[in-house]
Amino acid sequence: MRRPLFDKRLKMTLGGGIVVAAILMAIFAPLLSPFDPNQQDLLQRLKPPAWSAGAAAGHWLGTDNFGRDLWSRIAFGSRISILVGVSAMLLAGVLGTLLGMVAGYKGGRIEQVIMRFADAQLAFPDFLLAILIVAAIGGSALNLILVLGVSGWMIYARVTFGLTRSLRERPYVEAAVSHGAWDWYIIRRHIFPQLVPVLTVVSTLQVAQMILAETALSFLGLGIPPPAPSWGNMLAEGRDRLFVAPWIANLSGLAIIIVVWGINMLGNGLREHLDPRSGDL
Amino acid sequence: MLTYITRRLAFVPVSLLLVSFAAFVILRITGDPVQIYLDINSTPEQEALLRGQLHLDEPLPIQFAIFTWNVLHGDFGTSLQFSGPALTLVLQRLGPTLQLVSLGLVLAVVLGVLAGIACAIRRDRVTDFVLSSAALAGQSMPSFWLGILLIQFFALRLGWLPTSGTGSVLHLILPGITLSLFLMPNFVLLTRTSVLETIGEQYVVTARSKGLSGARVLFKHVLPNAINPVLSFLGLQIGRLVGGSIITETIFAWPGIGRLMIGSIFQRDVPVVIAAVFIISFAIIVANLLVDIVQSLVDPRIRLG
Repeated sequence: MRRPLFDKRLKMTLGGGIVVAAILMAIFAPLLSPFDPNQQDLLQRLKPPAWSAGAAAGHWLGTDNFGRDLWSRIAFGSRISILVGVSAMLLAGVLGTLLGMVAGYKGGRIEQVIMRFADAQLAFPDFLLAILIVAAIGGSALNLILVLGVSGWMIYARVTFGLTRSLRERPYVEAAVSHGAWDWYIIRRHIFPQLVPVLTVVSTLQVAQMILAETALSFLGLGIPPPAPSWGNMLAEGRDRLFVAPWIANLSGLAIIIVVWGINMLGNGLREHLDPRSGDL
Repeated sequence: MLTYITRRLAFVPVSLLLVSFAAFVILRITGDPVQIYLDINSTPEQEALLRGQLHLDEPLPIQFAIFTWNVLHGDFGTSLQFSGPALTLVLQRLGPTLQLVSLGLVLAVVLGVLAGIACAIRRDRVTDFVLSSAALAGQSMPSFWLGILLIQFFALRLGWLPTSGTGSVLHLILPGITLSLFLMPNFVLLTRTSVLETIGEQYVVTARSKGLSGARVLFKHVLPNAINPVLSFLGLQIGRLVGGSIITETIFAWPGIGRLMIGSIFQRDVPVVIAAVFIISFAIIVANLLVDIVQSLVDPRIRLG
């Protein structure tokens, strides 16, 4: 068989590199930004990036409608996207993993309640649910984390439920039960460690989904409220200036797709590395 | 078959009751309806009168019962920004949304499945590499930026198509393509995996060793079996379809339910928001039912299992 052109090593290196770069950008945003991201300079508004005619000195990615430096806003915007993406993933992951493990380990009525609830919520669009909750309680980074975390737990529950149920039948678990080990001890010691590879892959890919959801909500005006820079609300501002300043929308969009693509590459590479059987995707 | 459909139909009222409950909770979180309906200069007497009319002086369970009763009769209240019943407003927008959603879904499924089959039979060749990489990149593409890029290229630069709005068939093209490109990558990758898995099955090896032609093996043995996961995946994509159409309608100012809903959220027009959520949920329930029925027709294991 031929060796795939994009093998797992390349995917992990490329994806991991982008992810590390994005994290460094978020941490060192104040050092990387020549301007305050919210500092307006109306004399310098709608200046194009350095490679186009009419660019303003110092603003190498140009400026927006209020003369704010676009590069500084993109750098600071990475903080919001990564913070919301990672925190929402963690919240959903902890909730879903706990519920999935309990359902898979306990079985019976507890399993029925948890998994039927997961099915019901899966049938309802999580994005619509997020829109409604944000519309009711208002948009902020914290609210977005809560909303996205609570509307995204089902995928973890499903994955951990299936695995836990099959692990429960393993001889070493039965041995532990016969020794009188507590349920919680068995889950922690014998079941959870086996879930870690799969959870690593799912969590990585979920960060990308969470970032896409955050930017989409911010784009609709239901996420991070302006003037705080979020890649989504920058894109929304850019849409209204497409005729005169297409770079505002395009550079924010480019920032989103690079980071999300990097995370997806890393996740797919990790999946091939940790679970070689499901390598084909 | 009939028992299966009846059993599935029995869940519809239960689901609708759940949606009604969720809508009621959100309605109450949003704030005091009296404050929303009346302006700042209202007198306490006016407030008390309205509170009585809206049954807000009753206990919460009774309020929920009244709410559900009204909803069952199609009464979601009157729109605050437009005069007229909220439900009528929402139903007027149903047509444009259905046009957009059906065009986007058909394009995504047909082209996505074809591309997925092409990838699988040309595995690890240039075709596969190009299409799979494009699909992987497409999964990372925010649909709102995709729509904006299409506007810039086809509407602003080439001038072939209108930027947004409605009025002719041309107006539907860019929104439809945006929505379909948002859904397509998953169908490409899933079909590819599913066909590759089926190709490895023993009955396919047998068919091939009988000396059947490649096309015959593909159409007779591989595709009928590979299509099942794609069908069940279709059911899971309904949620993405709703989210995608809300965003697409917003980008292109398409007069559908999604855009009406987002606009009403900003106007605090709660009756319209609730009516929109209800109609969307109803559509999702019906769509899930249809997918289940089609699947049970295709795969007897489901209706008997």
